[in-house]
Amino acid sequence: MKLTKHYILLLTLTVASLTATAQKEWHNPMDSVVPYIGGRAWNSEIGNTSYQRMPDRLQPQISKKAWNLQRQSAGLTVRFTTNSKNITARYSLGGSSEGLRNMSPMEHSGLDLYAKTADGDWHWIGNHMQWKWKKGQKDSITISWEKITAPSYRNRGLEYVLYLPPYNSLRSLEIGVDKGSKFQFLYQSEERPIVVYGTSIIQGASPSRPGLMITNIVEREMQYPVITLGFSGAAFMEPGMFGALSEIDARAFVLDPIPNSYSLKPDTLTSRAKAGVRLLRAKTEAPILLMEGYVTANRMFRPDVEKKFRRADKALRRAYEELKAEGVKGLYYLPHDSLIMGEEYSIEGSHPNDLGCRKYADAYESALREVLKEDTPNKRYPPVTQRRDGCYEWMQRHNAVIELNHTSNPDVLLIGNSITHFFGGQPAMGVNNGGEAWQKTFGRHRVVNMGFGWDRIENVFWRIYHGELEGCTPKHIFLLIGINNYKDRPQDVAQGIADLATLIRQRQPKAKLHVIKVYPARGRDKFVNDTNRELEQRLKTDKMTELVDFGSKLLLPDGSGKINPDYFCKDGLHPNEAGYMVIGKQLKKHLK
Amino acid sequence: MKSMKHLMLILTLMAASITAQGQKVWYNPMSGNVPYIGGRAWNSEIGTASYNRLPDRLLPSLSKNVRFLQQHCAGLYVKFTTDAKLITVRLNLHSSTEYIRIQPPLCHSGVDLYGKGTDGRWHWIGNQMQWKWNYNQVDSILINYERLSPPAETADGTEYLLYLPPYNGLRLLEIGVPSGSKFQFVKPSEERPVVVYGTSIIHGTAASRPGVMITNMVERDLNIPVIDLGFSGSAMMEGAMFAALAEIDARAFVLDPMPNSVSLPSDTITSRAKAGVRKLRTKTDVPILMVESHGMADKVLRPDIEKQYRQADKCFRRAYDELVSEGVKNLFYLPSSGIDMGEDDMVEGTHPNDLGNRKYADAYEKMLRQMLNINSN
Repeated sequence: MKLTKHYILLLTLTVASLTATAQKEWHNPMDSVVPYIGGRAWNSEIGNTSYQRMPDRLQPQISKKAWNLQRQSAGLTVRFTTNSKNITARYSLGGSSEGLRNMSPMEHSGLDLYAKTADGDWHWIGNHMQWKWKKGQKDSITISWEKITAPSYRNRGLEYVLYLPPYNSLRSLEIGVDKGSKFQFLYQSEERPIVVYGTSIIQGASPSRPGLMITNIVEREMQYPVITLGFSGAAFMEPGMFGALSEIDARAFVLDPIPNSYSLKPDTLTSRAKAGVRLLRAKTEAPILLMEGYVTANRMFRPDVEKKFRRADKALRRAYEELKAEGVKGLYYLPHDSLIMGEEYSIEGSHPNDLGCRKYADAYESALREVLKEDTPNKRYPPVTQRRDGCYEWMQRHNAVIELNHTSNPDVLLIGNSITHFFGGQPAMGVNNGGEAWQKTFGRHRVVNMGFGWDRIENVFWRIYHGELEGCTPKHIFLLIGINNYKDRPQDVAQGIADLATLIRQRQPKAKLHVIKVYPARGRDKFVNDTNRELEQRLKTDKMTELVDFGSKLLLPDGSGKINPDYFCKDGLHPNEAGYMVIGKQLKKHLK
Repeated sequence: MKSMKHLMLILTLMAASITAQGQKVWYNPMSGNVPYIGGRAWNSEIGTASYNRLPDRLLPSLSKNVRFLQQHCAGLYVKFTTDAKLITVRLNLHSSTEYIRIQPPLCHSGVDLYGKGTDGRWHWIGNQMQWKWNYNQVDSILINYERLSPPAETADGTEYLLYLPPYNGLRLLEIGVPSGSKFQFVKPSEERPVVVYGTSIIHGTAASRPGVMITNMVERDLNIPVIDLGFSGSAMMEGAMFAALAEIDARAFVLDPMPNSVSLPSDTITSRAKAGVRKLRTKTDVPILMVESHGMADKVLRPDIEKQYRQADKCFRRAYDELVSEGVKNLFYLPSSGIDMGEDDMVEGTHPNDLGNRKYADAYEKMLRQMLNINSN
């Protein structure tokens, strides 16, 4: 006891000088009817009363063990933007979870913070041991991330994702920022998620911190929302669980139950896997990936464990083959040799450590890229998000577009950057320079404005890969993009636009695609002209794809090639209302 | 020689406690005159009295923190041979150390078992969660290694290597095997070790288990004994610490104090490093490696901390340059760029995790191979 006290003192001295920043403002992600919780399949239904992963309605069909574990916030996130230099999370837990021998408290009950820059790059932020969190403490734990000196863009701060404790239940969470700083919660992308059903390994045992859980790595690196439905020691493929999974409108399902289900009788394993996949197929065509068990790290001295896993694999393989023979489509299979654990990759033989989780995530990502084969990223312009424009929140606009496209049955989609964004219409966010021009152009057409201020080609790629062309059957799609890539070579920009056009045609083969030549802008004459000339060469036009020029009419009539200032805002880039009139008059002719 | 072996066997058997629980025979590595503790520089002098890393004689001159932390068994291990297929380890710990937020109990207070394969190398054996170990429990913790099927067996059975808890002290350690099994402790290697002086990172934060601590990986990978003198938060390069290091008949020294010594005044960093190396050089000509701090995993968003580390490194570098120009030979230097932490490589920004520790071990091994002319395989 004396020793413990001594050591605590020592730690306290070396570690903590938690600057008790007196002036903090606290924000609660549950202060909204639909709470600001990401990674949660039934977020609206569960509502703002708890941090559990499943709605109470499902309790009767879920095993008792899995039900208890769904209270633990594995894979859940809270997203926000702030320009605060210091961020503190204050939270209370349901239990201490300190009985776990194979996980650090920072993993089972800790939080982990990452931030995204204006250009869409994720970066990790360490807490540098700035916490107030004693042994056994469950209430009012605080973890602080201080002196964040972000490559901040126009003082807009950064977009953050906070990963919640994977092996504990959260009772409350507040995020404190410096008084007077900007703060806004964000919802996760509304796009369809990847749903992962699995064991303790998927629940988050045992990397060093929540951000390094397999599903959280995959989510950051593949940029798709991932729903973590890992249940420690409880992944037995019961039909009740598959019934629950089948409710989720998923992009893909990953079924990874073998590290638990190996203990079932082989026939039971086969029949449950088959019944489960059939249950999913009754509701969804989304691809399903079946995972074999990993190859154990200690197979040299414990071949018995290895053998059990391989025997279970065979039963799973049988299910896969019989389902395929039945004609089940969209079924994929990852054999164990993609998941070979090195001797350093496991903590006790049953759970991968950081090295093993990295290996797992790599295997998931390469398998998922194959499963979602249409989503091979463009090499010239790898898809990425952004939040360079201060007049709106990019991710909010993304979600609004997805919702509108699913609900408003649009016949016209306008894809672009601020030049399209500021034209007007829905979703209305930030600047509107179009005035009456919008109404005069579109009249009764149901139009969704998919212009995003400051977007570049790579950002449009991201939006299309992430669900913005889903849920609707438009007749016309207009694409105007490229001016914000002015630092790139015109031939690359033109090729990027042409590649985007190909992607849009794949996603919406029944819509006519009108690719608009880049508009003139002051001081960018050469870039614009060269890009448009390249575009004429590179864009493959056909009955459903045309290249149109609305920009020439925005120039002075004197043949100088200069912009007509009457049609532009002072920046010489953004059209004013008169400019939008000129554009709209031409665009209207293509709406037939 | 043979009779010597027999005598040892007899002694070992006599020492074994006969309190056979469930027909187990328990063996205590503290039973010989010289305990069977590897990775301990003063093993004979410390004797069977404790699992400390330093002899009592040296303690008065050392800092209070080091005096306390040297009780932790970082880098200590026990080797034995047995033909048992079930090995149980029973531990009595100093304290629960459960206030540690960034390590699994299995690392700070656990043990980790490796066995020798047909290739003569060590291979990991997971305990598959077969433990009896409740929250806060410090006495009679049991960890079981069951159903072993060793690939290489001799008449004595198979050789095993058990790493001891890096962030806890041991009051008692016993290894239990089913009665009737052969069992023999193996004397620690007489080979001159590589001695690593460092911070909590060397002490074993924050690996997932003892076997994947930096020093234990280096030891296995290079097949050279390593002495772990990592002291959490306390690697301040005091003269007395270097005097202690100088007592060790080492094959090489690795000095890696900067993640703690960063907090010293600039001139003190330089002068202590110089004085320390000079002190070692009064006793030994073996290669000495000076290691800068690692590159920070979150340097994009916390450039302030990265900057502090790099500024302190400059003082360390100055010491190195001045020592070399003084004519000190056989001095090596590992710059921060050699141990640059990626964004996934640390647990909270202060300690490398398993990914970071692997990177550290790789960097150490690369330097040590060069310093000791070991061919890489």
